Amino acid sequence: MPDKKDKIRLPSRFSDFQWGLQREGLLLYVLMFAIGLAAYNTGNNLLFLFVSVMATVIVTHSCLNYFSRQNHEIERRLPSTLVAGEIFTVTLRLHNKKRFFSSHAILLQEDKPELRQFGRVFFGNVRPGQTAIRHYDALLPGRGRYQFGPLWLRSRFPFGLSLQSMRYVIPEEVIVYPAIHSVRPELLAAGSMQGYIERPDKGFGFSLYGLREYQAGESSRLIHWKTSAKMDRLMVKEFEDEQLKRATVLFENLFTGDSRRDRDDFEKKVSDAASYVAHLIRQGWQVELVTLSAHFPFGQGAQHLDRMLRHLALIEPAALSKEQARQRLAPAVRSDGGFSIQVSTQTEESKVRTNPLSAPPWFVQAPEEPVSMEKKP
Amino acid sequence: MNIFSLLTYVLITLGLVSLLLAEIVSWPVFLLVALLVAVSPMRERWGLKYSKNTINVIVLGIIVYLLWRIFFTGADYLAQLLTFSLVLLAAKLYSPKAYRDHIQIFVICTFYLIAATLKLATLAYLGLFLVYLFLGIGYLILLNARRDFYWSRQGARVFEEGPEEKDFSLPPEIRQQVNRYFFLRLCSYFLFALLSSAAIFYLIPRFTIGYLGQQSDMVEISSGFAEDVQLGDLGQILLDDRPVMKVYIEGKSPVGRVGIRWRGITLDRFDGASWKVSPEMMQNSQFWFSRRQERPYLQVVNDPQFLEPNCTEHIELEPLNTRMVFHRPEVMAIEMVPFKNRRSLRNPDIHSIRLIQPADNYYFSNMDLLQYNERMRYFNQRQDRNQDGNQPFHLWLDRIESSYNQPISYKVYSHIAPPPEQALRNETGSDPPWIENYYLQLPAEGMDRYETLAREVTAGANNRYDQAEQVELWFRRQFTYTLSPPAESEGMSLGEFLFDYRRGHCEYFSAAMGVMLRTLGIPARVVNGFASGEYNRFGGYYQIRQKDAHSWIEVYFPSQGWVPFDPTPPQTEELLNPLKYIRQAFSVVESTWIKYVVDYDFRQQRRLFGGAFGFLRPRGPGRLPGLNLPNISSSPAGQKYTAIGAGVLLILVGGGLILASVLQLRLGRRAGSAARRTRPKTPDEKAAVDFYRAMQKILARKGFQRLPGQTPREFARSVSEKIPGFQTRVELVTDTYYAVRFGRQDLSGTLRDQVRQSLHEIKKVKI
Repeated sequence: MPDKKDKIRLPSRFSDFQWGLQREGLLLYVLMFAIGLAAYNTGNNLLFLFVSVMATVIVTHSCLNYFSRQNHEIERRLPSTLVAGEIFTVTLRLHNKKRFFSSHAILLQEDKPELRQFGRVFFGNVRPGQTAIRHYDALLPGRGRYQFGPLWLRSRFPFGLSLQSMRYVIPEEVIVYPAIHSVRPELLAAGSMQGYIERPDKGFGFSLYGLREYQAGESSRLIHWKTSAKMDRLMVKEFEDEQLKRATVLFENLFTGDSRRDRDDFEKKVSDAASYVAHLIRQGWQVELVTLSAHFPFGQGAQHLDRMLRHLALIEPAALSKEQARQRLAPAVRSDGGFSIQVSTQTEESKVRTNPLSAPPWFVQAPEEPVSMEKKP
Repeated sequence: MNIFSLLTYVLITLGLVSLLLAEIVSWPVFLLVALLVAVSPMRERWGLKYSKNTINVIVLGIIVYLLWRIFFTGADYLAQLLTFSLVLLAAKLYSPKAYRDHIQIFVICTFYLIAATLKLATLAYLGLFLVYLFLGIGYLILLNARRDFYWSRQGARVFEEGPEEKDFSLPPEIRQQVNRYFFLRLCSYFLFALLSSAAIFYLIPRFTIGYLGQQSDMVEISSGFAEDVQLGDLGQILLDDRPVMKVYIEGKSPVGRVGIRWRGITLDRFDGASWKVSPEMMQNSQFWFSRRQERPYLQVVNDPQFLEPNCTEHIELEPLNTRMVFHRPEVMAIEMVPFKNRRSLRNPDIHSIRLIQPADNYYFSNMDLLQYNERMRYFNQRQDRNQDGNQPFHLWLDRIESSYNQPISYKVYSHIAPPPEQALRNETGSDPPWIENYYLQLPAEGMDRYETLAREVTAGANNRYDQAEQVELWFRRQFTYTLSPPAESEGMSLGEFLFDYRRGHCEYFSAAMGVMLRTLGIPARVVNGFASGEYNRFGGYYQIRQKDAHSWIEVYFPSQGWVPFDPTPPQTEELLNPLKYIRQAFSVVESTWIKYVVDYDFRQQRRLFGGAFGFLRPRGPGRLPGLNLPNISSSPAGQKYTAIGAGVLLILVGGGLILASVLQLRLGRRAGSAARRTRPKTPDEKAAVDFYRAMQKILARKGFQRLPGQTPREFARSVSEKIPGFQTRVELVTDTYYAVRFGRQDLSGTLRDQVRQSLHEIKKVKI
């Protein structure tokens, strides 16, 4: 993430300012011209008075507009993670740095075309020295790096004659994670089932393995009070170990072509890989991600997921032969943990390899295409 | 009714009232439109709800009708335009109102105020204008904030178009801003606008093009004064408050026997029903011609008994239906002078004053000596050929000259010396023959009972003055002054006034006293003019209004001349009027308004800004010798340079404005296009929008209306909260709408089927 302070720029260049005459302004100019003509033709001073008032309206509009839209501090706040295709909320903060003048009827609008329609908020009145916050919902369609563009501060205050705009360059680069869709129910079932298979080793499962003497630093929750009372010394419980929930996601990100369809297919595969990774991590699995360009050893938790999704967000097709790709992925296939899911751009369906101890036979099938827009947890 | 709708209706009312005050619309039309406006807030409650299309068809029909009237019946197009604007206003009030409709309503109301300037330049207009400006600023601020708010909440709409909000709805975010701070802000904006307007108003170079038509005839000719006395024919004009003239008296002014009176015309012939100037008298005309053509002229009465003037009055006369010169006797000189405060006004072309002797009637005339001679020659030639050749020249002249429809400013230099009462009582001289000839005339028959009455009234009086005074006092004590005589007395004769009703207005009193004195052999004449009016202590002038039109008589004393008597009983209502001083103060404010705004001109502008407009200064002959008056308009060279200078300034200002406008348009296109730029919809996006709209319709039928400014997501959430069973289906359609329309996601066959299924299920659910 670039340092924001280095690149934030207040409106300073000619192109940072836009001034658009609105329909009402044009109407006023035309009326003023017509009445001015009538005034000079007839010498009627009351018509001159109207011309003066109309000119004053323009002057007043310009002055008030200037005072209202000057001297602001704008900040854009984004959620920590952005996922392609998911609606997220952007917070815009407007701070009025003026000492005496309020800011009225200010519109903040995103410059990027894809955000322009939703990305606009209205600030009715921000008093001197005060800050106002507004939100808008947005949605980014694709994964990868996304640069939030400048923000336009627009104002038609007070009379709506012209639209004055100032561009605040607030660079905000975010990584948009690949779209995460729901995976097959069978996979959910497999995941949950595998978690309940236990081995006769000490570990952190649910079944009692045995009792032993308490050692300093151990949690008091582990103390077995009944036995401790009988034996007159502190005894703690030991549990049996659960089976290791380990899965490897292999993503064979080979270059297949440059057509739109190829690109769409590639994106779909990235999304599949990200969905598996996310689902497994959320289910408490240790997940290893292997792609042609990176290897993420087994790990758990949100941070591990973030690292993997970030990699998938930026992943590009690798220009390797099939053989080279196979060689690179071979060590991961031999991995001994859990089961592995192989997502490849070369095949239509994803392959799932299972550890005979841990996975049911029907799990060989590849997951189907995502089917719904159901809300994610 | 919120503040926004209240402001709208107040602005409409102000516009309509300005039309009414300017007499552009009549009372019935005003009441009709006012009724329509007043009922319009109830339109939904009373079922008077019309769609845009219905209203458009009605308006279109009316346009066709008005065009037919203009082109086939020759109706005045301005009147039709006004009718159209009234119809449009009503149509806007009775149809759903978007942002554009509010703007149109505002423009129509402003148009009414502008139209009123053509006929209304009074203080009332100033009041209307200021209130309109104040409220208009507030209205525009709210209107614009409201538009921006709705626009920001409805992302899918194009930039310029306002959202389809409810007629006068004001979002909470804006409504909470309308507090006392808003009012204070409004006051400061108003003051700023007022000061800026004043600065611009005084800076705009003043000159008149006059190429596209003449100045509209804004002058309304007053008709309060009459050149004869037709008994029973006075009407309501005496109640009219419109100003007739303003008189500034320079120095101390001697007051005559009956107070200050401005004499207009004296009438010598009584025919039993009316008093007139006899034709013989009209033949005794003489003209005073201007001595110097190039300047306002000064003419001194060619009187062998010339007396030094002891009173100078500057009179500014509003347009009247007469050419009379109003004055106080004895006139020594009359001078045409510029207007005291209304510098933009010019005196009409008055080159001579016509004096009718011995009536002492003075008329303005536009004839100079040359024209007089030409007309004389023409008249003589015409006399040979015309069958009416016996008509005297001066009567013919009187017929061909018409009154002026312009104000006139002049000074009258008079010698006022009221004779002492004792001198009048001791009067022993005899009347000259011309007095007996003109001023003792009476109808041949029916005067006996007047003479008997006069003798009864004057019993005991042994001189002319006492006789006249007793008749005067008799009227003042025994009779009643009224402006509204009983209905049965309408058109009463002099006899009925004297012997039956004994109440009437001033013309009855003067006519009756004149007749009674003449029956006693006392020369008398009726004088029509104006009473003193109201002295304005703030402005230092007498304001004479139409209701001050008055009639009194003058009695001839051989050694003292004509002495006024006023038999009309005094009115008391004015003395009791507690609003007198307030009215005077208003009058001064109105004078200031007229002087500095309505009549502001280039001369004042030049004086105000001194050397700032030096290059516009005329290079004519400069000041006129003997007069300390700048003379801009009279010098052709000065006019030329003024026009060139002002033209250059106008071109510079106008060119700058046009350039600014073009620049604005160019930049505007950029800004507007940047704001408007959107990607064309793909078929999938269109389908997603259609699905979403279909769901909106289904939900609307089930009672879930999407509020203005509510985003699809907020709407979905609100529906889900109320009907939990809807949640998945509504959110699926909404999310699909978002994802496909703005997320560039394809609407695949499966998803499409799911959305369809959801819609079907939403439709089937019973609430």
